[in-house]
Amino acid sequence: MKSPSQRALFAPSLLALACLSCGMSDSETGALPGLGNVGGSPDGMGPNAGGSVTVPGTGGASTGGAAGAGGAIVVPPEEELEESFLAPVVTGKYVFSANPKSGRVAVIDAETFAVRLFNAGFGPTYMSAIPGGRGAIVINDTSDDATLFHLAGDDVSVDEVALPVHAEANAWAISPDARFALAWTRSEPSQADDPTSGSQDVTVLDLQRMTSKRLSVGFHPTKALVDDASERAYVVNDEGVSVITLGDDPEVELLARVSEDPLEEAAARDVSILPDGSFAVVRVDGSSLLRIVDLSREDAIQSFDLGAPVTDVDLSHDGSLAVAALPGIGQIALVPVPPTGDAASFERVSIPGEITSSVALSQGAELALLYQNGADNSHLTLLDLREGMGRALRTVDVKGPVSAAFAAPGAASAILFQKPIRGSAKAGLFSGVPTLQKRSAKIVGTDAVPSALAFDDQGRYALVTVGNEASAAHGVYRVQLDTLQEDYLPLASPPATAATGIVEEVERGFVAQTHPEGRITFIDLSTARAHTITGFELAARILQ
Amino acid sequence: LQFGFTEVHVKQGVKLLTGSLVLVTMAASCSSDGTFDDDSLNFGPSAAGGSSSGEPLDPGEQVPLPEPEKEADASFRVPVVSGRWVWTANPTSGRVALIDATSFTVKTALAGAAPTYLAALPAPKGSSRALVLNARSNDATLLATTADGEIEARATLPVHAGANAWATTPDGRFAIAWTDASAEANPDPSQGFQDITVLDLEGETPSSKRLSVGYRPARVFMDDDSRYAYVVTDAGIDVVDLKSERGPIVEREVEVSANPANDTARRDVNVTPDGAFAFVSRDGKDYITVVNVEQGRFKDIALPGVVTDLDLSADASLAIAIVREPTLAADTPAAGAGAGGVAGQANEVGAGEGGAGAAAGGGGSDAGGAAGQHGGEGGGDGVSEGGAGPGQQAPTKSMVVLLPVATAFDAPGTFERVRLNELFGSVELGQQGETALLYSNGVPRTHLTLLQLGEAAGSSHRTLDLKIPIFSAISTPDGAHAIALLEPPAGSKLPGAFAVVPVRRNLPAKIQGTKAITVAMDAGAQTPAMVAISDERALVTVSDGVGTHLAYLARMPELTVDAIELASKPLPRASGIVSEANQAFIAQQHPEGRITFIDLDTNAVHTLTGFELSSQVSQ
Repeated sequence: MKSPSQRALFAPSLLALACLSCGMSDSETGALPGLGNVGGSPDGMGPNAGGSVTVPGTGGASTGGAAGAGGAIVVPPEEELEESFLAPVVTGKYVFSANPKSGRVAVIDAETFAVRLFNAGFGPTYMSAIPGGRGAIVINDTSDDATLFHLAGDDVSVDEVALPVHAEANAWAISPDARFALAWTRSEPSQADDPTSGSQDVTVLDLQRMTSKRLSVGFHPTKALVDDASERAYVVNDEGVSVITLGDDPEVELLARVSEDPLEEAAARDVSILPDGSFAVVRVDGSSLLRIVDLSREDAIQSFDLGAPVTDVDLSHDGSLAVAALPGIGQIALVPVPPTGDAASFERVSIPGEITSSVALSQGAELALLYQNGADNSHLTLLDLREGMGRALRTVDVKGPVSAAFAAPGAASAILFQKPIRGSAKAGLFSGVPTLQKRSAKIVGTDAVPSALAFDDQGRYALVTVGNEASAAHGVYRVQLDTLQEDYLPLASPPATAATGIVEEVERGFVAQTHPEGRITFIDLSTARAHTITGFELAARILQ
Repeated sequence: LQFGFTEVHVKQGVKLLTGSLVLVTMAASCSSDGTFDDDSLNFGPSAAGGSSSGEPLDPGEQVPLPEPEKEADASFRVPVVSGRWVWTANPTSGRVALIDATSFTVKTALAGAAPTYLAALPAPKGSSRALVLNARSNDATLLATTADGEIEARATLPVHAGANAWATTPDGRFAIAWTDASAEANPDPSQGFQDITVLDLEGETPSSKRLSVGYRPARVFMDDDSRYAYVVTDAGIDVVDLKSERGPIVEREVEVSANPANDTARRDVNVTPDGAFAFVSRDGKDYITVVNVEQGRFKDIALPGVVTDLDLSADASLAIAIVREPTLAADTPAAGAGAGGVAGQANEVGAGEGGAGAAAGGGGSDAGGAAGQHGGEGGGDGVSEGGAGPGQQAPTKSMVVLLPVATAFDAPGTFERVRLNELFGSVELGQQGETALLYSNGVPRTHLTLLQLGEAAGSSHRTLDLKIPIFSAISTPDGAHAIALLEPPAGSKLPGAFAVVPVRRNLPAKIQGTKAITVAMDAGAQTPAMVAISDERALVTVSDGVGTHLAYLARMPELTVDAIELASKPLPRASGIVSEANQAFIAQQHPEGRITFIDLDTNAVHTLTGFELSSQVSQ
């Protein structure tokens, strides 16, 4: 399930980092990953989150995916892969890049390619942009504090005060008004069975008053966001959702439970939170119940039986609509949030002959991309949600099994990450799909697995990065979304994890790469020309 | 496809079957001692026996269905002739040569890296224009002759990587570089070849624009008005507006199936020259699809059997489908044309009200199902064709279905059926379209049936026994004659053969054995014959790839054939007829370039060697 806050995890890539460059919205900033990790360090996913591409397996079969007729269908569990495709931090026309080994942060002007270096604390690692183009903040992993960078015009300065954060903080949630930054610790699945790794500390930084306060939330936090009003932060954890009141004296206000069964397996839950923090939408693997939780109270759970296991739920950007996949009965349910009636009142859309167990909504909820990735299935179904379109459906065969789907801003096109087609010698595959026009998808075989994606905010261009530190080949495709022309630009070194983004202000994309002295390649979006900067850590002047 | 000139055709025989398959199917239809002996054409008894149908099987016994027909037309490329000039490109040297076929003077010019794929463009009288794709530099060079006869490279435009084919508008303003997947050896399934590059050649600053179309383009059609291009792909038909306000764009994609994601049968799509309609057949299917391209709608038309070929007449007034009629065991006495098979014994012209009703009329146990679901609009007319099912024999006769293009979409159930007591699976329509050449290469057959089209002809026909199994056939532009490439059985003294067939006159065909194969069993290892044809001459070029290289010049209506030895191996798709100069030509492999011209009246041979080094040797 992908709540707005979760969406923000990959919003920098999916939405072309426009938010980062021109001021992110609340929820988007709330869950921003760490900054670029140009030096090869891990991002906000945690020290061992490393692998940039998590498309499972290769060489899978390409199957048609037509559903059998009649009866409920049992489908394999879906995999949430979209969150793995992250992007680094952009503010204005600047790209901020942290190097934990040198203790420096590089600020690169994407227009002139000029580089300035700044000292941070020890082990600057997890970075986030400050909304409004006001700068960036980085968690210093070794010194357990955070360094704030101010951006005013072309001037960059480092705040003299390093605010303390709790040990092992590895992720940020920033308030839309740029006042609060919540440092928290994202739990990894590997920690699930370790009772000593609860990661329950969070630190609220007040960036106006330059203060920090540690708080404790539920066990194993998995996501955090700040509401649109910058009044509360929400931390999803094993016990439910911890609600933190911000303001002059932040405190944990309540724990909103999301299950009536205290022993329910938390890992089986997907929790999405509305941007205004009013409700959470919860699904549980294998359950047909969809829960709507009022986050202003401790125990306010409404359950709606949708008639078949809910394999995925996606929440519209404004939080007014939840789209649930019910492949067992070949349906999609459109659930208004908060619901105004019982489950029978929810609109259903039948998807005849297809198994669609994953849902990805476009930013404006004009379009739902429906697919299956729990089993190899090369079909993508497009559901037109616009008014007056009669819930039109179209299924396209994209040849290779779909792993993840992303609608471009404006919903006129989408990019799919896929497994290779059966019999293909290629290591990876992606497709560009025209969504509002009846046109063929563009199938692109790649010599390395697609690892990152970024759209520009107009939906005109996409960058698809392929390869990682383990692959022999690495490069980036500039995709022109109206014609689906794709141009391949080889990279001289492996792309860093979650290090692909777009600098809207200068219409350039970039891919940061692993290199001892730093390497970043900028791509002019209109011409597909590349400009690589290498060794900026050595050549640039160090500014204190 | 529009190439800007019409008088010259080239055909090339490519056999896609494996050798074992061919031998097996031949054994089923011919006696084992049927051989092709020598130049004097002494044939064994079985080969002369015509279309034997084999022994009937017991009821319920399954028989192997015939191999699908091989579509040979896609291999027939028109060479690059413009006026009296011949353009040639040498990927190795990077040079393009322009040869005046009247004076044998040669001009050369450098193009990009590895100039490979040429296309002629319309040009004012007395001049010549061409485009060449430079395979290595991923661009195209626009070439033209200057007033003093030199070659000028007027523009170099980027194209997508891997382009290997051209389509040009009739007015010569636009050219589309695309990638024909069938020309690629073992393409990776992730290679969709979906890029096309549209070149606008008008004005002082020609431009190019890349677009994306459906997976694996198979054909590109340009409409007569030079406004739209139609790209046939796995997904359907991409309509490219060449003159939109935003420049060339893919305006829309027209689906040809109700369930395109699951419609995986191999398709053959023909688009009418005005782009109004498309007709689609699918391997192994007993229906065709007519597409109203402008409306973006389609209808399936059920036919009484599996459609093995579909073609449009030159004036696009008729779509002609070939249907193999399955035969029940009880029907076998009616099967077969008999020895010699000179004329069909049965010629039933149907009333043409059938559609699905006709297909579902009875016969085999599965007859109704497949056809009925496609919902033809006409009622049944009592035709009782069986469908595939238990108790069925291999087909022994075929049917020609004539669908009027103008009304096929609005009245899909109305068509004319011509039943012939012959087995064929392929149709070839000449430019005149007055006679359909009917033959089979899915099942080895020696019979070529000539079916007169048009109301006055009354669908009369005659069948010729060409003695040797036919692989392909092509009409002369005026439709008076045809050349058929033949495939002699294993053990024949000569490995190849072709026939010169009088179409308009009831005369016997001339069968000519050749010293190298005409039909390649293995397209990768063997060199198929090239055919260049005009109204009165045909040039059939064969090579064994080693030391035997010959061009056979056939004269029509005399039906005489002269063999001319070539000094080196012919290049693929590199022969043609330059009507303005009354010459045929064959370009050949040679480090510095070699081309041989043959005077069409005197057979005088003129070979140019080394013209790429400007040290031209004329012999």
